[in-house]
Amino acid sequence: MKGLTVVLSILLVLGVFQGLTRVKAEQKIEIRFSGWGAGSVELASYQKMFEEFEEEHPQYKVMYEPILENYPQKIAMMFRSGTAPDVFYVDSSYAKYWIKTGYLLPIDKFLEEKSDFVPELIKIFEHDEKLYGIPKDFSVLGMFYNKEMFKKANIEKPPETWDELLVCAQKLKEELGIVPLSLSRDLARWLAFIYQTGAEIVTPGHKESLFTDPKVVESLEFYTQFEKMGLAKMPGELGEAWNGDAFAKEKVAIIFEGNWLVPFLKDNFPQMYNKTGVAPLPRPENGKEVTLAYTVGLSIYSKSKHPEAAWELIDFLTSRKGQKTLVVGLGQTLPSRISLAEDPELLPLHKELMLLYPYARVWALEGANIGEIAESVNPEIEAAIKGIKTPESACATMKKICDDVLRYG
Amino acid sequence: MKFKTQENLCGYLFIAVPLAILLVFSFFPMACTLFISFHKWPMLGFERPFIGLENFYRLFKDDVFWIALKNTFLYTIIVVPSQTFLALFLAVLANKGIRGQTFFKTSYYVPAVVSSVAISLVFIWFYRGDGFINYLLSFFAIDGPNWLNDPTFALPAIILMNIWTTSGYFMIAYLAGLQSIPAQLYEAAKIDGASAWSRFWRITCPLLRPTTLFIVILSVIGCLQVFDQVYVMTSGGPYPYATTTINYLIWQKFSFGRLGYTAAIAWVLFVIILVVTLIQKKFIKGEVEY
Amino acid sequence: MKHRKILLIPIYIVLILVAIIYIFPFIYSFLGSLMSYQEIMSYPPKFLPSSPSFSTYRTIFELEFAHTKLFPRWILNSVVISLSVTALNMFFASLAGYAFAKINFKGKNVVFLLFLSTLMIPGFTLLPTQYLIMQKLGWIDTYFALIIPSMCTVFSIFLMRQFYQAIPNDLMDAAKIDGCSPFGVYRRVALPLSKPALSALAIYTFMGSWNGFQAPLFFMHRIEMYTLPLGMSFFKTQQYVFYNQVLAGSIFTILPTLVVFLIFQKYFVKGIAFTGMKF
Repeated sequence: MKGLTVVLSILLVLGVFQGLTRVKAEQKIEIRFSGWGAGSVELASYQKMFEEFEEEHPQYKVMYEPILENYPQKIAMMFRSGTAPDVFYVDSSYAKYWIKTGYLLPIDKFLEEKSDFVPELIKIFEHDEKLYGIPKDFSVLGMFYNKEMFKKANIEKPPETWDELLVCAQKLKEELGIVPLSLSRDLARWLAFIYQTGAEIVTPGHKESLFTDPKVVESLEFYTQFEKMGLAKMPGELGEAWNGDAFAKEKVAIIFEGNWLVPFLKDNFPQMYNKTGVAPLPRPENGKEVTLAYTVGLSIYSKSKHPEAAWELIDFLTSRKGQKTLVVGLGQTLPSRISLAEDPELLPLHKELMLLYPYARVWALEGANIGEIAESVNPEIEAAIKGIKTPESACATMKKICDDVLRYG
Repeated sequence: MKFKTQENLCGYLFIAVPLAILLVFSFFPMACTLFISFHKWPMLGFERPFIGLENFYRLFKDDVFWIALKNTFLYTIIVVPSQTFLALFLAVLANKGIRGQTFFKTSYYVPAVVSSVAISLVFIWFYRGDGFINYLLSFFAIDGPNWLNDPTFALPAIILMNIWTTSGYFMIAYLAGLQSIPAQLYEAAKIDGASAWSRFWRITCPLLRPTTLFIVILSVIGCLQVFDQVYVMTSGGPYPYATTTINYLIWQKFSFGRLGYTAAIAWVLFVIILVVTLIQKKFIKGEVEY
Repeated sequence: MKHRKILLIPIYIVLILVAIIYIFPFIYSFLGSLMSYQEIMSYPPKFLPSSPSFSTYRTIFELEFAHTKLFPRWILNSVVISLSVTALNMFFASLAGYAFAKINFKGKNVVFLLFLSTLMIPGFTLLPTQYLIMQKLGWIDTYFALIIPSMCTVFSIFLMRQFYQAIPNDLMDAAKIDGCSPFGVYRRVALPLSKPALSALAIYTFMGSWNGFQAPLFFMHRIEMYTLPLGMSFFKTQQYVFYNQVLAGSIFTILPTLVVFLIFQKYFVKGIAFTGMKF
């Protein structure tokens, strides 16, 4: 016991010593940068970028402090206690919300030229004529299909309208005997189809939700008809965690996912990767071509002690060169700069997805956290998909739930 | 007289350290959340109006809350006794003093320490429609369901899994408790001709009451707050909210910064747990009489 | 005598069967860590790796940032924190548990109920307030934030209290008559008998501390200060988890707790019971 105590005490002292010291870089300005972790490969890329940045700006040192889980909650706590990092990620789903709280610094005076950025993405970070963040990359939804299965079922080209999709799915089922579609119970997918009908889900003032709008109900009918006809299943019903797994294992032929599917397939299911094609989402006969986009911006803390330094880092990371390494190089997301759309290193499937940006609406709402609304209504979407509730009934409940969320927002 | 004051002083001295820590890190924050529960209190934002009992009204009107309450109670009522009996069974089994004891004790303890990700992975795999468990069931000509995606079976699936993990965890408490039963008692009983079952029932069980009280109270508190597997494996469960528990509800609201509403739900849960615990303390006498 | 031996066989069968059911995930974790990502995700699911390799282990140990090998550093952090918390709990909880069990001080039942009540509120709801407190104390990003609040948990106190309650009062009275102060009684009578309880305490506390996730997530800023369970979150991207890496890393979350268990479980041997008991 005595020996153990001695060992413990030594460890405790050592540990405390380790824990208390912060390696103070001599006279360098520290820029604290945070985001959610995205794995070891991204870590290595960031490491490289930071080293380059510090070479170009020797007076700065980047302290990377990723928050691996529950990112918005921790940042919120840091905002309130004044310990937030200088530069940090801001997801589009709560961008407007954070801007309105005043914790983000306007960066208009820093940004010289914003025309190279995809306009829809910049708009998300604008408020009251000021700019509060720079989109570092973005993702977009597309329709991915199994080219080989299409060929076997004699389908020449991917469907372009809702009706064509139905026909196509029926053909796939007949010829190949599989369940052609994997659909998830997610507002983040269904919303694209809502927008295609020209409908919205909240009134302009965000006081009320519009889920009972006939066009919205119509889009839910479209989205849920497939399972009723045996033409679709949810990933869980196929025994998979998400649509991507079902697609990769060739259990289905068509899914609606985004560019993240591409590196997933390339790294883990290379044969499937070669058989994958992508096309814009099918739209209703009289509807608009719309898809959803998701983006993350980099912003500066309003109480940052070194806003100019913070800006230099943001500028560096979102520059053409920065995005070439971090975005094009990593291949997980699409660059937010239009000029990089033709970059030779961009994966072919990504190139096609980038073409969709003019039709993309960002996953965000002016006056509410769209993520929260999604979480609350997703179970109802599931009920409709499984046929437990009719689309009208599900939409009625969704309206009730969403109104409640908006009222307390 | 002197001894009495000495006793009081000693008593408080002995608990001084935890008391101080709890005051700062538990009681004070708890008081804050109680205060917050009567407000609309977004994590970020500057308007924090006092709204009295409105958070509670809203909670009781929410259908999901009642479903979650039902799920949580169901879960607790099934898991606690099963896991306690199993823990006792395992402890007695592993305590028999036979060869390989250490190996057995360790094996029963393992599920409690294996990371919940590994366990979740394994069980997601097990519970698949075409997974291992259904494979076993097919030998009995039973067509197993798609467990985690079936509203009837999702909660039972998680219940089974948790009974299995927590029984090993509490087995340790019983192992420790079994040590404090003097061997002489068993010897005397054997001499008197008592059977093994009778020895178990009349000596072991009563003398393990303090340990049993400990296990039951803590596992009830734990079960009423179950969250991890619900979140990792089923995200609230297939419709309708088949595995949503109260803690999951709290987490959901918390993750969107609705601190006021979160605090209200948390305090409702607190009251429920407190009442249940007090009831238990009355019914399970934790004192041991010789 | 022959009777006994035959009776043992069914017991052994039960023991072994139960053991297999219980260790299965551990074995799977290990086997999975030897597979590649494709293999783990393959369909139909595989149980045995076709070409087992330790390369995943090499990968996780190579993870590096700012010239620090992260995985070993996380292990160090976890070890320091968990050992400290365990040692501190063994000391303070045993004192407090004894006080609640055997010292009749004023208001003891109320105070104990209050202590117990702190377990009844979900921990993360207290996090925002605790974060502010930590920040004011300057403990953010140091070991103190993770050690101090857990240095004497209600769980531990409860465990020790129940154990001490089982000790008959005659032993205490005998010592008191001999003129011992309450602390003396504790030291001379109660403490020596507490080995099994302290062992259980050590196992539980170490495990709880080692597997802690929420507190390190919120109270630590720098990557080097993470604890192991938190660091494991690096083995995934936004969309999917590198299961083979997670399983490999999880071996390291399992092993230390198993080691602690093995060290202390020898106190759970039949026969180390009370001695000198007179009826």
